Amino acid sequence: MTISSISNRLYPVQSRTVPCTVDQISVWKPALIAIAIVGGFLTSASAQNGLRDIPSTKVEDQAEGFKLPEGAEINIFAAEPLLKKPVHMNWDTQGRLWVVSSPLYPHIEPGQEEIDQVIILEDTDGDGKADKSTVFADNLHIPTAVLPGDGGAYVANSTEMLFLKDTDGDGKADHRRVVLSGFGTEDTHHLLHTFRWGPEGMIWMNQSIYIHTHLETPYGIRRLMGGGMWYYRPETQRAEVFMKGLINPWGHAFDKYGQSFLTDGAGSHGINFVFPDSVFRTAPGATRVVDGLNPGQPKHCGAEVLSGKNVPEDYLGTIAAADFRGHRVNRFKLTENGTSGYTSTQVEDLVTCTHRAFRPIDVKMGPDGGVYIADWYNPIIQHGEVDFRDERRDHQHGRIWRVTFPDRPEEKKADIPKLSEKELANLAGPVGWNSQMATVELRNRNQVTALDGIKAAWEEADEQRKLYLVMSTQAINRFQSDWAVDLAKNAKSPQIRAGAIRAIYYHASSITESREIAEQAVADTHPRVRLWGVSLLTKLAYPDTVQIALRALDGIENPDDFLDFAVWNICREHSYKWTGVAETRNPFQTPGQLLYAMRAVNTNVGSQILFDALKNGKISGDQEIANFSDWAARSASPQYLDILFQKARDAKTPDNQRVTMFKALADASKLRGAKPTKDLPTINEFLKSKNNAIFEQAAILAGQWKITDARDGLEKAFVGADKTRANAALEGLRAFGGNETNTFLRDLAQDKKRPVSQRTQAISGMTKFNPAGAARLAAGILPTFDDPKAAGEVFATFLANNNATTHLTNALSGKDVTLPEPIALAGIQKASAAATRPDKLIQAIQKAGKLKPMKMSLTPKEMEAMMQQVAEKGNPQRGEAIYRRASLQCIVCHAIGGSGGIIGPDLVSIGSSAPVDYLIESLLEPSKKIKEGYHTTLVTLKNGDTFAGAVAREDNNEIVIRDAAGNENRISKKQIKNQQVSPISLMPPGLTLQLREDEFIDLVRFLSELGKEGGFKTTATPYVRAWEVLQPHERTRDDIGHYGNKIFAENDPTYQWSKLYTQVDGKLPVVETPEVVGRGKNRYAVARYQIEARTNTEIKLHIEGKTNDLDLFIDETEVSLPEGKSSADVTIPVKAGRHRITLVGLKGWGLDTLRVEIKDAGDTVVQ
Amino acid sequence: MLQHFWYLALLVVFMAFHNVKANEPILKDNDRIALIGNTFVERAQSFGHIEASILVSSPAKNLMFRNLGWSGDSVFNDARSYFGPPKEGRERLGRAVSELKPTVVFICYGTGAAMSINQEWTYEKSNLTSVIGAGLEADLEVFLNGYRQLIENVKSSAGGDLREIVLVTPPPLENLGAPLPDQVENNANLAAFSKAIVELANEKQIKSLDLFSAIGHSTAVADPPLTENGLHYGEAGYQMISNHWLSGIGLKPEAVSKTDFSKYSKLQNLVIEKNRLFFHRWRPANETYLFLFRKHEQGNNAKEIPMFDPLIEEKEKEINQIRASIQNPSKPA
Repeated sequence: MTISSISNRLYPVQSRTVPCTVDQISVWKPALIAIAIVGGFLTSASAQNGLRDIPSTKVEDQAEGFKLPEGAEINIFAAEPLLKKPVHMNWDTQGRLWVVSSPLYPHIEPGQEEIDQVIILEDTDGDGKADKSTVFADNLHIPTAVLPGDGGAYVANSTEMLFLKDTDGDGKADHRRVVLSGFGTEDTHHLLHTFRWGPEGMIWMNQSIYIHTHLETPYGIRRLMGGGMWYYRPETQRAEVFMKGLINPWGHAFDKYGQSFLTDGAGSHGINFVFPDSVFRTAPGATRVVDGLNPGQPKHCGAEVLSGKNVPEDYLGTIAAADFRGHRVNRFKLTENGTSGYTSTQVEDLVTCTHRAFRPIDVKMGPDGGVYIADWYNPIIQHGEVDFRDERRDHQHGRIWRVTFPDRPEEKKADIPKLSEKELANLAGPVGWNSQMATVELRNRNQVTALDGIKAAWEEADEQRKLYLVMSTQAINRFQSDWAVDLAKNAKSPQIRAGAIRAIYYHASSITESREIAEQAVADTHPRVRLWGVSLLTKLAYPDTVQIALRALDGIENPDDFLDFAVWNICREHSYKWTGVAETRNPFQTPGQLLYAMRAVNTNVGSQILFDALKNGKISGDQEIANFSDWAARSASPQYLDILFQKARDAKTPDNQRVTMFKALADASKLRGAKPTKDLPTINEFLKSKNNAIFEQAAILAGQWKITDARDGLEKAFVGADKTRANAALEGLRAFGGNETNTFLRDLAQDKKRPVSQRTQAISGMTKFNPAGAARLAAGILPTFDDPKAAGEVFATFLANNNATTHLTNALSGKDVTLPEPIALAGIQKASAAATRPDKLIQAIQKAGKLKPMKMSLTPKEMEAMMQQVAEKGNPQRGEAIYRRASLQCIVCHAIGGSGGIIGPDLVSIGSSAPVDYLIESLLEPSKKIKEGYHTTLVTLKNGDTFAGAVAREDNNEIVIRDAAGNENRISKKQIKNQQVSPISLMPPGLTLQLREDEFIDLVRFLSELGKEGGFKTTATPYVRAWEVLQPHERTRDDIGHYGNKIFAENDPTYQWSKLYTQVDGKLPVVETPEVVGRGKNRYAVARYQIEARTNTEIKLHIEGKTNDLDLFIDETEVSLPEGKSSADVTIPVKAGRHRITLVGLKGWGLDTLRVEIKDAGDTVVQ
Repeated sequence: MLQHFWYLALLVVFMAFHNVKANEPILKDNDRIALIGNTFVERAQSFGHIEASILVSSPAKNLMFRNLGWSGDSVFNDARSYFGPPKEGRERLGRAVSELKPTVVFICYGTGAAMSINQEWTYEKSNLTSVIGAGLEADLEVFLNGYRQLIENVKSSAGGDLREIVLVTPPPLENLGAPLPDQVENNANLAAFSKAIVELANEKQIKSLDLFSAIGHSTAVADPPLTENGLHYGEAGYQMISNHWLSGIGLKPEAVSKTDFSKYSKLQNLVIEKNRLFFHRWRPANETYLFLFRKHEQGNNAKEIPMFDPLIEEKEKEINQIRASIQNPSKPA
């Protein structure tokens, strides 16, 4: 094949029809290269197999790939033909493992029967292997959860929750009842899932992001739009939503106090602490969300608290969660940290595997104390991203593995069905097989005798057991509320007080002591008890629940996010109780509390009270003023804005607060067109301010308010030297608009003597109020540009507004408009990435630039060849360096294991989850496959402005869109014309065009190694991964002579620090750090990170790097390092408070990389 | 036991059909019949009694039933909306109806709303719905306004062949006692809703089928109960309801009780299988990928969905064959 035959598909080689080799073309073009490769390496069928990474399906071969911690062993418990495609599993009280199996997944084919199964696996001879498999049901449609109990099993079956029962004892279900119906099926990997019995005898179940559920219950309609967790009590048939959000909450574990922890198969926040009404990322319409405990951690399916005698003692209480992408089971350790939440630390994996098809999707403790792992077994796990009918999808295999510690004692399985009620009561609880099964068994017993047994156990119980007995009475639907009340009030352990309130929570309104308990709880010494007190209050009808709830924040300077969320939530949920009162008086004790509540609901109902407080200094601290200003920007009416404006001008008001207030006034004007009623021209005074921040806000206000006298000053500032002032002036001028501004900007844009940046800014300014004029101007000027980047900015300006885009299209369609190739390419790149899909503009640019249509996609053959190149020639080390290049911008948007940007998905295990063809395609055509949770929302305003990005948050009045640059754009909902999910990715196409062929292949290879066993798997080792590095600074050359290296550790406010993330292996490449000048020819790398110590404590660090060239400082105090070593261990005492840990490295003498491992963090957290 | 139950059911049937005269069957040859409603209608598809009993009793030939019920739906079509507001649910229903071009449409709503007085039972946001939560009268008014809109949606989507719309009142609740909640008040609400639905049918000059009054809601509960939870009917419940349904559309329930049990069961099972296939056809899983905002990923697989049509047609043929053999025993099944 010759190059000429395909070259007509490409930019910009349309004229290059002469045969040439790939190497002669300096700018790499994907389709071109791919075809060239095909020409050379046509693949054979066997090579395809290898390419496509289909591993051997033999159990023995898979078993060889396991790596385990010392003392652990793994064996196969069950494999095909005993079962296939396990989705979820749970034990019954006899010790049999129930598994749902779905060969139909991901989508039934026409003509296929509904043949998915519930399988019961039994190990009858106790050798740790299943020897009996019974098909309990075989007429299901993509069942995604099974929970034996109540004499049968509950099964999630697409739109329905079923109860299946064997009534004639032949081992097969012959009775099928629909328990609940109305669960959504918009995506079969999101279906109702994760069934688990709670310690209180309810069924807990989850659904994922795309599911919309509508249940008719005996208590009314219940709906859940998007992800979240339900609880359901079979006896009363009450189903309620517990929390909302998360992408794929595929795991749920209760800790020993009955608190709930969820894992997420796509959310990458590790363990999530959930509580009533809590809202997490991706919940539709969420105004505020809570984060998980391990931002940047791998994504998980399943969650189980490890327990029993067989697992090592330091494993007890850790949560095992299956990282199905990374072929491993992670563990997390939860510790108390004095807040209502927890610190979750990733610790050593339970198991990892090099076999590509090992897909652990559930983890459960077994009756013998072994840890059982369900293995979905599939080289392909993608749902949407890989074709439903892709031949690589496995529909035949599936395994259950069992991890044990042979040198440790065995766990004794209780003979649950034979135990007395009192024995069961003494065993029941949330953690461990025996305890969980005892709870389930109690439900099978006669309620009267069961209650007698529980009461007998109560007489001898300690506090912890008493909590379980309270739960047990709930499990048999005979709640002993007086016990719970007693524990909630008097238990010594705060965790038990919190647990007891959770028990009361489900019955809140029917228990007279609820109010008393809540009042006591919000003043508890432990914030978690306060959190539950607030949760309890949301269930109560008393008129003063919000007043009580606000007390939960008393005496806490910085409330943690969980507690703060709960209080914020009740202010909203119960707003009807206090907003009426606030019209005449402060319903709360302090103006600060009123401000808190009013911000929570975005109301202006108590404006008079708040502004009185502002006037007489009762709202005065920086944080309070910031909160107040934020509220005023959104809600205060014009006559109140007068008071704010007056306060902002007051000479006694500190400058920083003045800036805050001005900004609020500008936001009020931008968001909702509200401005003060008088004295507007007085803003001119502040244009004279030497303080840049004040000038900035004043300039914007002057424009927003159209203060004529200010124009001169703004024009001067725009052409002035100070960038900050120039930008602010432009924003002011844009807001001014009108003929004068038009003339000023037009002349400026046409002035070739002006810097190009100023000229582009001038055009950009014009698009706002005269898009047609700006477009004509641009069409005239763009052909003269020789800087593609500046041209790209001009295009971007027009693309931000639909009218402006149309005008530019028209202007560029003029007969005599010709764009130079690089300028046209810059335009195409911007336009292709625009969520508005401006096809006509793209055509116009193509015509003006004489470009031929570009083809970014590869044919199957080209793809094959490319994949082979990646496998044979790709170098992941080089690929990582390419990935980290600033010009590629990968790291700006994507994190790897939490290190990096948050715009795109975390790539921590992309290599082990995504096939290579998917990676290549995603680089070339980012819009083709978009990960759930990362879809772009396109908002078009009535004035034609468009905003594309992720919805950061929203409320009734406002939506905040986070764009690809990470900017948050606040948009008033009143201005919105149209809002839709865009099929365009935020990732611009063509980012990789700048790469050579070999570089592209290295990059793909690097991505394909991420998460696989080897050097590119993010480990649990706590390295410092996000560093701040010092930019070159003028003072260092002169001052180092006087003060030595200590100057780098100083907290000099004029120093500029930028972020630099480590490589996947935790190493910081010294070559990538800025060169900071020292004495003579010495050049330094200066990297620091910051910690917060809660108490006086000690940290231990292991530092890797040539110590002769390294200095270490805590704040400005040097910590000595040994001479002549390649690593060092140091112990540093730290006082409570914030500290800087700074490393200063001499460049160029063999110090290639730096790595810092936190061996012991003491009582500190990395900021 | 079933046989016994049928006669019992016949005894309690009394005529409460305002517009439908018992002697005038409303179904005709080749009718395409759509069933629209919430949980009650959706679950009817997996019991099959309503369809099977009509097929056995009706002289009209070649009847085609399509169940468009959706659990938890409201008159604003909340449950059909997927990612959007209820408006998108109405559009989805409109599309389904316009593809089906029904001649007869049965609509049954009311249970969900009547049980959720003082709760937010719809996400529809308009002046119309702003009074929700103000009590029975207010909720009923909102419900009726939504119902009017729903009827118009069906009328405008159904096309020129539409002959009859029949408003079916929801069946009553059973008060099964603790630990299930007391349903006396909800039944009173439902009675008010049913009365208003019949009046709405009169206002719109369309037919109604008053199941609620026909079944009645005494405090006595059948033994065993007809519902799973006071709310959702089971096998025996749908059996009983199908008898009332027949009477309501001018057919005689006796034909069912005279039918050979095994033949009836065979017909019933075919109906259920046909309904299951149609479910995958009109309400497939993975809609996000096949038809919605991720269709650029899996939209190519949407081609499989119409491939259910010939399978459904095949079942319809079998249904018609067995029906013919029931009504005309000389013909082999």
